[in-house]
Amino acid sequence: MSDSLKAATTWYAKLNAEDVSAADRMAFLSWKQASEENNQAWQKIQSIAGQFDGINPAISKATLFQTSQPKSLERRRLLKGLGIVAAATTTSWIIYQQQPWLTLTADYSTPKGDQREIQLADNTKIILNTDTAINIAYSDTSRTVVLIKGEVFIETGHGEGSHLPFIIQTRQGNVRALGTKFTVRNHGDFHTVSVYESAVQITSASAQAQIRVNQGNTVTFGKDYFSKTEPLIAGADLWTKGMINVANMPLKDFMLELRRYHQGILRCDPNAENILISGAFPIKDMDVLFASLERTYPVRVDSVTKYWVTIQSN
Amino acid sequence: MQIDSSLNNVIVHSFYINHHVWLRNWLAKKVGSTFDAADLAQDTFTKLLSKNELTSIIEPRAYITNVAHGLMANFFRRRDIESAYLDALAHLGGSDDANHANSAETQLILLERIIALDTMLNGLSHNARAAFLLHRVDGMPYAEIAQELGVTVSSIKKYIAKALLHCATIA
Repeated sequence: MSDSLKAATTWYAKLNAEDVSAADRMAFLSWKQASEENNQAWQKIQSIAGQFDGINPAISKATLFQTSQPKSLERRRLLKGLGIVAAATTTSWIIYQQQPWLTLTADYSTPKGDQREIQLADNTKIILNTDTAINIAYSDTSRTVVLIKGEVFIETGHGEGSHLPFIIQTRQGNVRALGTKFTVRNHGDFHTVSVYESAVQITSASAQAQIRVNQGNTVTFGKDYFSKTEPLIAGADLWTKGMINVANMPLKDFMLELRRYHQGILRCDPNAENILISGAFPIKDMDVLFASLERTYPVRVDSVTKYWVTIQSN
Repeated sequence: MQIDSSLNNVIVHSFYINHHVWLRNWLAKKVGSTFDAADLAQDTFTKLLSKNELTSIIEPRAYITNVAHGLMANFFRRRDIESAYLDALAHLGGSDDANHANSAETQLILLERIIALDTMLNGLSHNARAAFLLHRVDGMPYAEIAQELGVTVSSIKKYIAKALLHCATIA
């Protein structure tokens, strides 16, 4: 049964192509008439395809297209940009996409495009960036926060329980705060930590390796490696104030960042990809951001709907 | 393997008495609505009735929450689609008179259709899903789809076949 079905789907794809030939059509008819099974399989495929008829394309784009971008592209580019020498493991992205329930049931989370600030019992302040989920696991031996996905800004508090170590737990290691302000961002296979005040100590999950990162620095870590410690780029924590700051960033990389905040499909034409973007942009209002791009750069932002946006060169 | 429905009924009944209120409260925190939480709680216990392993459960709450998780995933996806749909309608309302004139009932019927299609497409890769939708809903030629997705026409043919096979296997 499934052989016919499989063949029927291949025939469908072939017959609807621009390069379909008369010979193809003849071969298809032969196949269809060869058995009742083939005929039935074809009817079934036709019927399934037909279920999509009469849907407004704009509505389809807004609702039926998944909003996530293939992660492998993003990861490779970011790794290159950060100068990571050690090869990350090639295990699959064990992120929320494979365990969606982790996000849904997190103690605190933000959808795409939103930010949220919370304060815990010990006066620790946590700002959750776009598309973030955390679990709180405070106990009488530690103040642990689990970063499931996304990015957080932490300002540790000195209230009740603050004598206990404050730890951000991630899949690839733990970040222990030494009384401080810092951010941790989950990229799936690795994390980035930036320290704004005092210091943190990172212990990677597999190795017993530890590294201390001081104020003004950023580092990337995976399960069994640390990158070089680099100085922070100015304005790296502007997102906590609703802005992102970039300097001479190719538009195609800028889009990768924007996709974290934008609900829907955000595309960039190849001829606009290499335009260098600099400046501070508001991330809480995408319309304002796009208008600002159009004013300053030779691009045109085409919003079919709020969810389907393409940036083209002008 | 036959489910002993009378035994299941007894077990689920006891779960219900002991954990129903707790589950509703727990769900209410996750989904943000007592109304939806009540619905989801009911659906959870109904689902438990069809499960095989009830007699061997040691930790009922952990098991119940596992079942509830799956239902919540559907709930959230449905809610996302609904809000994207309403937003798209509002955005289109000014430009497209046909949509604007649609009654609330027609809109709801279309929404249910979209949710059903989304369920059918669930599990497909981003590219396979996009290729099929652009072909069938947008009527886009394969060459154009190939350019959109940054792949070859031959890949598009494979994606479309794959998408149909996926739907045919589920439907």
